[in-house]
Amino acid sequence: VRPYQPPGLWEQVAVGGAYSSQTYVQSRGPDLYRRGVYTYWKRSLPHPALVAFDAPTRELCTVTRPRTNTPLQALVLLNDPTFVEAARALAQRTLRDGGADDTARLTYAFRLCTGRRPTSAELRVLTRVLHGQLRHYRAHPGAARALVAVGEFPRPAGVDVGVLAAWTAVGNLLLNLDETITRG
Amino acid sequence: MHLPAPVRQALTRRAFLGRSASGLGSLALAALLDGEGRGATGGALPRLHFAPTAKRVIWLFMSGGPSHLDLFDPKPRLARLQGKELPESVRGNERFSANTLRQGKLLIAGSPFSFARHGRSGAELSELLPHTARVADDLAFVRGMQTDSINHDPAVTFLLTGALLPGRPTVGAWVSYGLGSLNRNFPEFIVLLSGSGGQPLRARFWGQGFLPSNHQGVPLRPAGDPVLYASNPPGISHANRRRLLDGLHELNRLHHDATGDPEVAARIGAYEMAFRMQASVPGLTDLSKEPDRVLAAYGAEPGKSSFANNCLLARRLAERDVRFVQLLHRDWDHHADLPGGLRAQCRLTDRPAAALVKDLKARGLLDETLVVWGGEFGRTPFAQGKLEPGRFGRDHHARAFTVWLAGGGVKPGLTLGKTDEFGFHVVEDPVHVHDLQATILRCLGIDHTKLTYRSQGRDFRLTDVGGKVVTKLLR
Repeated sequence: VRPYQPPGLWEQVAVGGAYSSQTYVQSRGPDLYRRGVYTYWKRSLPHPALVAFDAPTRELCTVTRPRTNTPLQALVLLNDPTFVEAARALAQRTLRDGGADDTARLTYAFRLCTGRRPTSAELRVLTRVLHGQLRHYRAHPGAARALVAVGEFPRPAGVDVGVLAAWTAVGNLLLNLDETITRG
Repeated sequence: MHLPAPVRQALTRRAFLGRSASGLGSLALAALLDGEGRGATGGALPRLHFAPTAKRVIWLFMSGGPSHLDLFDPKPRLARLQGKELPESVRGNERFSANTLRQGKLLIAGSPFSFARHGRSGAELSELLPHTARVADDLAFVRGMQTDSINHDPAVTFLLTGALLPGRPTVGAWVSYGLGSLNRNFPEFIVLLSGSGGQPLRARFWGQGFLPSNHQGVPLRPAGDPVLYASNPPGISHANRRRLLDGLHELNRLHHDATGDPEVAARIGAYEMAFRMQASVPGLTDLSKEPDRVLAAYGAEPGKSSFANNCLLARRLAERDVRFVQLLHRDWDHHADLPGGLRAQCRLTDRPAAALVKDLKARGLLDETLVVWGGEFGRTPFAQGKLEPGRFGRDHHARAFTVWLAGGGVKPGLTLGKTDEFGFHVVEDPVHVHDLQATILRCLGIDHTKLTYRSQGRDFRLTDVGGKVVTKLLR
């Protein structure tokens, strides 16, 4: 499958013409959400998100994948549409299934990401961030619409865009927690 | 139970099972968060083996194999023997490509281009390189280059990784691993691509092989985000990203306090550098603020993708103390119509490469920046296909080719090495690819036999089991 990928990457290294895999045609629908193992492997230029996370090049046997922690990985997890969209999907699920109030919802979303309940100190931080984001996106409806428009995953009808955007931003934060990225 | 921090640290599963590969893990949280100032982050080498003569490297890699015979290494005898067969005594047992083997007769082709001596050093250069000729006294030409493969992919892989088979780290990745970064706003190994057609490029030409991924080359792209995913998504402003990162750090810090896991501190540091890169990269790649005379000197045009723009970017990266800048320019593979192909490529590359050397020198950066120009091999003294004057081609040639170096402790105005009358064999001062690599590391203060990384049960190095430093090249 071929998930979101910035345009022009293959073309920059391609020889063009009749060879296969010279232009990237992105997948649609469920194929956007397969595990990375199903991502199309172009040997001369693997998907950049996989490369950023130490995907072995498959040129040598790799017994242990190095464990790294780099700024480029941060940029992928913060800004790659795949993960921005995942944050929105997390927000939508939280708003639907997470309970009635902010505390219940934050606890629900935090548990989905880390597998444990937030401590009271963590909950205080999350609540403050959420309220800040709600204020921000109520004041900036254009930004809210732009953020929730990222990705092809369906948006529920009748949801307050400002609320969804704020929860998407919080989802983006949760998906970038060290504890979410690396199970300790 | 309250344990002292080092004990708690040792008890985390990650600290226990894993080895910290980021190089950041051992730094204290406070040190990572001390603001935006410049500062180096350490490499794997605790100290340099020699006093370095270069702080950084700019490598202008000419993909495809530029002809030494038509650019750097004049062979008047080839013109006199035009159309004759290459003597058996010269040819010997050399391996040739399947193309050459198929064509049977190897008919000698003289260069259609004239050569002249330039500068006080009297370096001989082809008429195709008028701009390079003007900086000839700053360059050292190595006419005795030799490599181990006559095919592009293995030869490029060999030049850039020291091994014919894929999978090893590239020179830039080794340098990044060994020396770490000179600055805190940019990756230490940056890649700039130009040209179209010719041989394809592959991400492993700037890959980190078995080294951790923070040592891979980061390509700066001419359109869209210069660094992939450097822009915030639509609807997240710079200010809001800052607020979200502050919240993220607060939560990560609580986690760090609870576990003592140093990797959490490293995570916070990586996200802060990502944020700094988001701010610093767009300004870096915006050439529109360069004065017109600078743009004209390079032949650069803001917003375009070209070797000229990349040379100017390389200077800007050197100013910002990026450790290793790798340019890759395509389309030097002139099997047919070599004269036309060379004219086209020299038009694209001669002026910018010379402008880069001149500009670095004018800014006082050349002394501490090693510039390398060259392809993966040279080309044959005989024609490939039909020997039509003005339209003939040359095949790949591994036994002799030319690269030039400048700055960073290299002796300026030097022409080192000599090939035979056919430009076929090196007869004086041969420089094997491993020797070139050893010399580049030497300029950076590294003993190439002592920069190693254990993988698959053995210690690997850039120069494998070869390489001698070419001391004649050094000041």
